[in-house]
Parts: sequence; structure tokens; C-alpha cells
Amino acid sequence: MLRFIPLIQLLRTLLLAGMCVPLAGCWDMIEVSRSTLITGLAIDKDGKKNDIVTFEVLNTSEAQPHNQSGGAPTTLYTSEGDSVADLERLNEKLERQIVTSHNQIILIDEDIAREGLSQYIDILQRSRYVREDVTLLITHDVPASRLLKVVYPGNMYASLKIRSQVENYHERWGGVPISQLFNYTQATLTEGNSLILGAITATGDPQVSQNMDSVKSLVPKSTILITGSAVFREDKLIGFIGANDTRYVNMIRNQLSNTSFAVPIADGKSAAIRYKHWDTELSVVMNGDVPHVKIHLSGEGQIASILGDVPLDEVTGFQQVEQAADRYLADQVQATVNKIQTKFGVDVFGFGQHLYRHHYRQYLPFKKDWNSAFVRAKVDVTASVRITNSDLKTSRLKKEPS
Amino acid sequence: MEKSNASHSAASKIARMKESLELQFGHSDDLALYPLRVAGQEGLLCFLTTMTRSTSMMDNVVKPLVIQDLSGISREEDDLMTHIRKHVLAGLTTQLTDRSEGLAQKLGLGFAAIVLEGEPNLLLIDVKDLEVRAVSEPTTQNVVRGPKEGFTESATTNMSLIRRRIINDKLRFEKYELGEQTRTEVYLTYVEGEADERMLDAVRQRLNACSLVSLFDSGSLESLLSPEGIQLFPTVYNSERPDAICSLLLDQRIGVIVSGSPFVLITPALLHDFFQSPEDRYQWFVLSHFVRTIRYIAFFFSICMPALYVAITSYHQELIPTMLLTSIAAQREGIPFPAVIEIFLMELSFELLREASTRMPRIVGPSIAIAGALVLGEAAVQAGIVSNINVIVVSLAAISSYVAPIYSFASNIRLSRYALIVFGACLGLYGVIAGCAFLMIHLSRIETYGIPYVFSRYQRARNKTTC
Repeated sequence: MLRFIPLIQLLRTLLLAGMCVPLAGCWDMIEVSRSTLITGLAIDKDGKKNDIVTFEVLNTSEAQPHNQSGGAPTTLYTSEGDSVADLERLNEKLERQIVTSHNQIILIDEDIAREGLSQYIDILQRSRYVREDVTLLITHDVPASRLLKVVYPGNMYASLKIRSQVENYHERWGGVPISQLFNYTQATLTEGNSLILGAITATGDPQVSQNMDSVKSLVPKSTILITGSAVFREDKLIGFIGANDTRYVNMIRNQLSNTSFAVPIADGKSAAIRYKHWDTELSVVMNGDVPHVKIHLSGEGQIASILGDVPLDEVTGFQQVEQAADRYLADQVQATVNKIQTKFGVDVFGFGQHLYRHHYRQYLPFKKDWNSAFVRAKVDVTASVRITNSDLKTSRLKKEPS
Repeated sequence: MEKSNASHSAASKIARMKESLELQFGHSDDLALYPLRVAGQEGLLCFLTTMTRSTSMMDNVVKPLVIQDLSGISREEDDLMTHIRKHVLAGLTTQLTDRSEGLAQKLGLGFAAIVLEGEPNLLLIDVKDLEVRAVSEPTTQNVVRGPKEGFTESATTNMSLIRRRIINDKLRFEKYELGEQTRTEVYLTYVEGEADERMLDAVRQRLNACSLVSLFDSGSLESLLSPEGIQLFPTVYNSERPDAICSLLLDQRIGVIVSGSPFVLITPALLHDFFQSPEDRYQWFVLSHFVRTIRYIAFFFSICMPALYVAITSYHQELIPTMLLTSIAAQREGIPFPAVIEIFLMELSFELLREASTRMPRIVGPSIAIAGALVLGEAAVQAGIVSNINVIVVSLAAISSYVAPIYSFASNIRLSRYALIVFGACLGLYGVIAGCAFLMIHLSRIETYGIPYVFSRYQRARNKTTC
């Protein structure tokens, strides 16, 4: 039971305790209305040795859909020669305190990526304010800062737009790998797995697109384009692959959920199939020095459109399309694997990881340099596609021959 | 000679009594001293008109005495007073006394006294008949489904409301008179065999040791019944609802009824009791559990919400989803005060509003509502003094605090909210957690008569302590 505390003693204790609280001094306090969010980061290189870091800084009131007065939702600030870590120096140009924890996206120029990402990643990962799920992209053909210099209708700012674009593209079509800071960590730390990150570029004139007036046009003055993925050896960029190949890589890595294909059927006609579920079974065994990879793709989908005369009102019609799709997919995936093997020679599929997990002893001799074994790999692809329906119609609309 | 002596002494007895009563009550206007003739003897009827009603006085006492012919009765076995007591006023609470010392006090309690010329004894008759408020719906604890009766200011009515719900010969009422000046009737009620004897003794002791000068409401007794020291949470349950009180009495608790107060106390109370509405037992159990969970969440909101808001927006921006943070930041754009001052401003104005709307005359009610809703809510936001999100947080906390079914709980816990805001403003989330930890420690240390406060079931708590 609480004993009775004399009032004076209680007041004294409360006073002492109360004094301790404000003595803490609120040293970490940041007032949201006097600070600003950094939402995007682009790292470029000038002609010489210096990094150019472009920060996308949010103008909160303009970024609100119901609160805007026509100003730009973000402002870009560039600092040259500084490292990313020297972020606070941004107040040289910027009037507000910086909140870095809401960074959406990190864009890295391909020239920098070719020299190696690790020095930049270290800064990012060390900071407790940069999250592991921040989108990490490599820019292709254009400077990284160029991508932030695009205004979008509805006061959407570039970093949010790109992030949403990448996520949806991966989810709906699979043309870009999951490309987050975490993937870098994962690829570095796991065995037999090489890094691929999303690749992105921009079209159009940056001088026009960075102006707020550009959103008043029906036709976008500049577009951000996801080109596919950037392939790395260790932490160095070695090349790019297109969206289609990226999709097959995603498929083999079992990271594809939805996509659609135009499958050639007889007479040069094709059927478009929309897939809902994908499941890839891998089996990797070493046959002497040669990894033997079996890939079995199984999926489920529906016919989105069909051009040839396939009797879709009968089971045989579906079987016909399914078989064509099986053949087509197997060929395509096979071709992609061969392309990666010959052109890049790095295992972006994670075959080595599969071997490491399932046949550790077989993997051990190749632990040092799995990629050299990967190049020799014999890949055998089979597919079994199930077509569940043909949407609302069966046969195509046409006049009965009289 | 002897007879005249006796009549002289009796006459002087009546006169003496009249004189002494007038002296004691100082010619108070409600003191009635009526001459009376019973069975051929001169007498005096005295009572306080404010403690009875003239109709009941006439019907129950005066008419039978005056109308019945008492002259021919046999006086062998009983004296006149005893005869009147047994035959004329049978059924009324009467007592015979030969001492006139405590008479004034008896009159104050609603007795009428009859003095007769030739009789040595005084006849005291309980004629108390007071205006009482009719049993009506409770104003503080509403239910949609369940009994609509509420306690009134009359202790007798209240006891009757309990008795008619617990038809059990083990139900006990023990009378105490507390308050040196007011002599307020206080009844200890319990179900014998259910309530713990030692605990009962402890409560009795505390009631006997009561040194209050006046007692007008059971609220003044709460501190007497709670454990020593300062508690941030109420440890004595109170309710206007007979069904709530009865169910707790049957749950081995002890009740205290104070005459003049429609709030009956229950001790010992557990934290969980304050989250329980009587209605929980009358509706579908799944719904009851759901609602109870909501109440606990509301409790958390009410204590922590403003503190969390201040802590997170000032120190931990990384915890807020980007879009929400953008929205908050945009709303706070141009607000001249830091979040903590803003919260305190709003909380303070809400407290003012609450106090004003509780105390003001009912007729000016709408003006407060308009001033409160429009001026404090709309205008303050539009003027850019406080932000929208701040108004949302404060009103959410305010609404949450009134979800608690027992008003005294809702109003007590309000205070800890302010402490938490200060902690949150100075130390961020760390401060809020520290404050909550302090509350937890405090809560877990509260014991009433050895029963820990934070048990959810009383019997389990009791078993635990007896072990």
C-alpha cells in the first residue's frame, strides 16, 4: 500500500523530477513546419572527379492536392564536391532544417555505377534515417539529376512518381526487378546471386519539362521511362538488359506475379495471354563442372485477345493455345538465360544460391567464383501454362460463312 | 392536595419542556408545539414541521389519539402511554423514554414527542415524512438496454432499490451517522457471507474514525475509503445505477450509501470495473467484449494521444508515413507555435469549454456550444493559430476520455494526459514511454484493503491475496 506522503516532500520530489524534464533541453526537436523533407537524391559525376549530389526538397504546402497555389511541389538543390554524408551543409542554400528520413528514391548515374556502388551505399546504410526499402535505381543514358527535373500534373513530384511507377511496373508487368537498397544488401551477402537493379531513363527536353508550365500541356513534355535493369558484377555495373529480358529474369527468380504475352499460334497469328499467377520451380545440380539447371514454369492465365482461328468453345482450342504458350515461353526463357550467360556472365537468376541451399557440397568448390560455373550451365526450360478462361467471349466475333 | 400537587408538577413539566425546547431551537419557525388532550389529560405534541407532513401527522397520530375514546380503558396492566403505543399507534415506530435530554436531537431526526400531564414517560413517534425526488433515469450512466431506474437522494429509497433487486436475507444495511454538524445517515451495505469480514471491519473502522464536519455527498467519503497516499486513478467505484451496485455487491464488494447522494459507493474497486458498463451484461457477449476493448483503446487514446502527437511530430518524423507527414507539415505551415504549445492551447480551451458547459445555467447552453465549436474549432484553424490535425488530436482525446462509463474515472485520468504531454514534448517518445512506465508502476502499486487494483476479476484478486 502506498504510504501517506507528506505534501512538502511530494512537492519537492515533483519539483526535482520536473526540473529534470526540461533540462533534457529538447535537443532533438524538429518542428515540422520549420523543416523540410528530402524526398529524392540523385548522384552524378562531373567531368572530373567530383560527385554532384542533387537533392529533391519538398515544398509541403504545394505538394498537397487541395492546398496548392501553382508553385512547384519540389525544389532541387545541387551540391558539388561534397559527399552525401555532408547533407547538413545544404543549409548553405536552403533555409529550413532537413528531415532525411522520408527519402523515397536514390538515383545513381551509370558512370558512377560502373566504378562501383559500395562507397555510396555505405553512407546510405550507415544512416539510420535512410530505410532499406528506399528505391535504388540506375539511370541509363541521362544524368541522374535529369530524372528529378520533371514536373507532373497534380503536383506529383518526381521521386514519388518514379517510385510508384517502378512499383506498379514490377507488379503489373514485371519489366523491372524489385530495386531497393535492401536488394543490394541481399545480393552482396548471399551466395551465388548477382545484383540487378532497375534502370531508368528520361526522354524529352529537360529545359521545358522542369518548368511548371509544362504540366499545362496535354502531351507530356518529358517522360520517365523504365528501360529494364542494370546488371552488376560485384558492385560494378556491367551493362543493361531490356524490359522483356528483365521480365524473364523476374520469372526465374519467382518474383513475377502478373504479366501478359503475345504468344504466336499457327499462321503467324498470335494470342495475347494475361497471366495471374506464376510459380517457378528450380532444380540445380552439378554434373561434374557443369551446373545442370532445370527450370519449370507453371502459370495460370486467361486469353486477352486472339487473332487466329482457334476453337475456343472447345477444350482442344484451349489446349492448342496452352501448348503454343508452353513452347513460346520455354524458348524465350532459354534465350534470355543464354543471353545473360554469354553477354554478362553473371548469375542474376540466383542459380548459385539455389545450389548453395540445396546441394551445399556441390556448391563449395565454386564458392570463390560461381559466375565462371554459371557461364557453363546447361539450362533446360519447361513450361506448363494453364489457361482458365477466355474472359467474356469464346470465339472471335465474325460472320458465319453463308 | 396530593392530586393538585401532581397536576401542578405535570403542568410545570409541560411548561418546562416547552420552555427548554424553545430555548434549544431558539424559536425556530418550524418548531411546532401543540397542546393536546388525551383521555382527559392535558398534553403537548411537539415536532418539527420540516421533518414531516401535516397530513400524515393528522392521519397517523392526531386523529387516532383524539377520536378514540380512551377514558374507559382499563389501566391495570399498562399505563396510558403503553396503551396508546400498543393500541392506538400500533405499527408506527414509537419509543418510550423518561428522559428529556436527547429530545431535541430526536425531533431533528423526524420524531414527534407527546408529553402527558399525569405520565412520567415521553412517547416518541417516528413521523418522518419528507419530500423525496421520484426515482428517475440516471443522468450520468446511461444505457440503451437495461433498467432505467437510478438512485435518488433519499437513502431509504436507495436501500429499497437495492433490496428489491437482491431478495436475499443475507443483505445487510448498517447505519452510521457521519458529520459532526450534519449527522448524515450513512449505510454500509453488503451481502453477509459474500463480503470479507476483515475487509468489512476495516471499512467500519474507517467510517467510525471519520472526522468530517459535514457530509453532503458520497464524493466526500471517497478519500476516506481509498488507500492512503495520492492516487491518479479512482479507487472507489460510484454509480447511480442500482443494477451496477447490486451486481458488485453480489461480487463480494461492500457498498456505502450516503443519505442525500444519488451516488452509491463500492469498495474495493478494480481498474477493470471502470471499464465496465452494466449494459455489458445485458447484451450479446461478443458485442460486450468488443465494446470493452474499444473502451480500453479509448483509455489509451485519451491518455497518450496528444503526447504521442507532440512527441512524434517534434522528434520522430521518420515514424510518420510520408504522405501523412507531408499533410501534417502543410497544415502546420505558418502556425506560430511549436506543437506542444499548440496542443496546450487547445487542451486548455477544451477544459474551459468543458467546465463552462458543466457549470453554466442550462439556458445559456447553446451559446457555449456555438462559441466552442465555431470559435475554437473553425476560426482558430482558419486564423492559423492552430492546425487542423491538432484539433483532431485534441478532440479525439477528449471524446475518448468520455467513453469511460464512470465519469469520475474519465475526469481523473485527464490529468495524467498533461504530464505525458510535457514528457513527450521534452523527451520525445522516450518521455512518453517513461511516463507510461511511471503510470504502470503507479497502477500496479495501488492496493485497496490488500486487493491489487489492476486485477480484472475481483474474486481472483481476492484469492490471490488470501493465498
